[in-house]
Amino acid sequence: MGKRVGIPRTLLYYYYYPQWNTFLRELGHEVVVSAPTSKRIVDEGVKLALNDACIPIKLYHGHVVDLLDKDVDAFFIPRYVSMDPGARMCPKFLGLPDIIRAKLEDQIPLYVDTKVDNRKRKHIEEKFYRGIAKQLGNNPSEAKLAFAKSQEVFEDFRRLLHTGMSYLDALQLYNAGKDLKAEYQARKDIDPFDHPLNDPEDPSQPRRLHFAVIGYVYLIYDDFINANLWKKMETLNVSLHTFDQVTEEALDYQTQRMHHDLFWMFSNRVVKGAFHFLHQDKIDGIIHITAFGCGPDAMTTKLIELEAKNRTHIPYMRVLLDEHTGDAGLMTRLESFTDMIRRRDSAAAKAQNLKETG
Amino acid sequence: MTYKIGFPRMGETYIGFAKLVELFGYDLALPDALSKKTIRLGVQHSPEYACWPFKISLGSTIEALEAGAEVIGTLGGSGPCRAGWYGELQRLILVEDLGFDIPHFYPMYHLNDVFKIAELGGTKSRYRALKCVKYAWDTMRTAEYFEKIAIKQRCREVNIGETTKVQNEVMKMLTETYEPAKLKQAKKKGTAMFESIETDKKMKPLKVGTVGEIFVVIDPFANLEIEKKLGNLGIEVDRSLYLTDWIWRELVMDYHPVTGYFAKKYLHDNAHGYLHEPVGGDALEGIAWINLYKEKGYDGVIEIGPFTCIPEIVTKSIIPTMSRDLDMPVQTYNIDEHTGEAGFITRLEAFGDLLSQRRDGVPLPTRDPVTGRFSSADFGAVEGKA
Repeated sequence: MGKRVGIPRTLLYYYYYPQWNTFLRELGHEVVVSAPTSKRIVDEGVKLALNDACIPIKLYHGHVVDLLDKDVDAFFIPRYVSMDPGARMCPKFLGLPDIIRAKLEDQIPLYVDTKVDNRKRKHIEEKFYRGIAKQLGNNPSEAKLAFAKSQEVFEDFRRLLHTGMSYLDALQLYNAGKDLKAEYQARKDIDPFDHPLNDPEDPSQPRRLHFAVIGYVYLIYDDFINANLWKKMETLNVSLHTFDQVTEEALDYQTQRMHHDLFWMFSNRVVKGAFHFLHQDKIDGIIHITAFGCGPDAMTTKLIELEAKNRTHIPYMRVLLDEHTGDAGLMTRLESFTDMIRRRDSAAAKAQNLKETG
Repeated sequence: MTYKIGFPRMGETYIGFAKLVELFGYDLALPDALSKKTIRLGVQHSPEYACWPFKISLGSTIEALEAGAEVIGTLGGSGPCRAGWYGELQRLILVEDLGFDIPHFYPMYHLNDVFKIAELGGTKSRYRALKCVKYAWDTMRTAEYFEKIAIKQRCREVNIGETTKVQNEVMKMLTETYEPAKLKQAKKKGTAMFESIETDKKMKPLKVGTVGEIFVVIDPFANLEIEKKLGNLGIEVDRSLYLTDWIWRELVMDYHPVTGYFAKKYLHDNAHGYLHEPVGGDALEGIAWINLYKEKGYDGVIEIGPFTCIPEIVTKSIIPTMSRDLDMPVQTYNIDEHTGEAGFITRLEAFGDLLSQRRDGVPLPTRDPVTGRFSSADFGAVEGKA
């Protein structure tokens, strides 16, 4: 008997959704995702959540409230303690099911709050997914098959991201039911830094710029909270690259630049992603997106800033988001950042010309 | 050659740490008592959204370096609270941003780091190092024991301000003690000194427990002397967190030889129903202790956390529900460099009145929380002014 399982469209939705969705569907459940973030959702979240909490946690409250109206049988609020051995998630993620339970105890019919704790040993994920299946009333053998399938889909999905595709584009392909393997084969030889619009031979065309967007997945992919970053940058003729397009091996390679690994899995990846892009000379600029009141980011920001100081030829900009972030102000900042890089480009070209001509 | 060592201060625990490094054979470069200057230094060089303890300890470390420290011992940990990364980030800030030259910088991750410091100071033998640790540990326990008496007794004193005076004296006595036998004497003498304070034996004060993030709960400067203020208002205070308890539980062993329980499991059981996972920092302890204070018949709980503290946000999110379920008043504070003392005092007084009204049906006698003096109820009538 299938249940309607509600998934809030924020936080780890932007990382694990294909796996969750495949797994739950394989078990015969219906997946309901909350509406894309809107003013109403932000307001609901701000009303319900503690006012010192960071904006992602407030958003999470809003999305859960949104799901309350959708006649959902079970709420998917898993407790992600640790995925990478040795690193944990942010403490707020660890306490998330308890926070939501304290706020909305009576209104939620069933919590799916199984915990995954991979600090000590590997391959504990299967146990985690078996726990989810148990909470939803499925038997372990079903769970095993569904997990195998979901793992396969997730691996294909990540591989597709590593070709340089953005999560949102890849998610569209996944939702449309496309064969992810075939898509990967079609794209695997294309260099993400080689854009069809970019023609180096034609000087009348402005050069396609490549920026790295550093930040947590739930900030860089949520179009409402980052004020439509992706569309804006497209209009400015800029391609964006994110840390989840970098393979894990490449991220691990950056460990050598750190004294001591951070405790938080995503912060670790974000910092290593930033280091990866800073030390790879294909990037024209780095935009670091962070949320007001984000605990780990108070630490990562300093680390990235110090490293960016040593690599001065790559401009670095930090954008701080909260529920009051204005569209216009952000647009101005992004435009001026892009303009600054383009000017530097043309100044360098002029200097080159002068040198050659005489 | 003897090195000069410095470390950030945290409440009265510095007495124990100072003992330890002196016994190891270092010269002491102790930073000044925490002050406005510490905050200014800390805030100036910290990331904007770093928490309050980070800023204070960075400021204090800078003061230690200014006092000539060549070796720095500082906080370390294993997460997921930010405190475990303080040491690493402070090293980066001090060396790369401020240009200090610190050849010996030790964040304490493990007991081995203590041995490293001991070796550098000239105490090569591990046995001797452990003996020093034992002595410093006892000093720290004694200091905490005195603090415990002071915060319990302050509300009952007849001559206002006597407890604070005695507390300062016994702490000074502890700093001047260097032998185990003398330490025992000092403990006896200190206890007698506290007992000699004239108290109101018949008084039945309100009882309040403090929970929250360990640094702000322990350090009187960081929590705007909340324990003293509560005592001056006539409220008995109990503190849920002491550094030695924390070190024992988290770093030495879970089983407590004196009380005979498994502390982590005990806390876990008491937080059950509200928080099912240790989320780092002192969130689980906070939730468990609210439950325990209810069982022990306390009148209220005060929760203190630094602004943007991650684990305390989890606690604060759960507290309203818990307070409702347990019928227990809980007041929460966020403290950082912008916290104003006047607003802080007003909230404290209001909480005291609320508790008093709940229990006895009358508000607390009007007293000044800073000096402890009874003042006239007339608004605006200030002593010594026309």
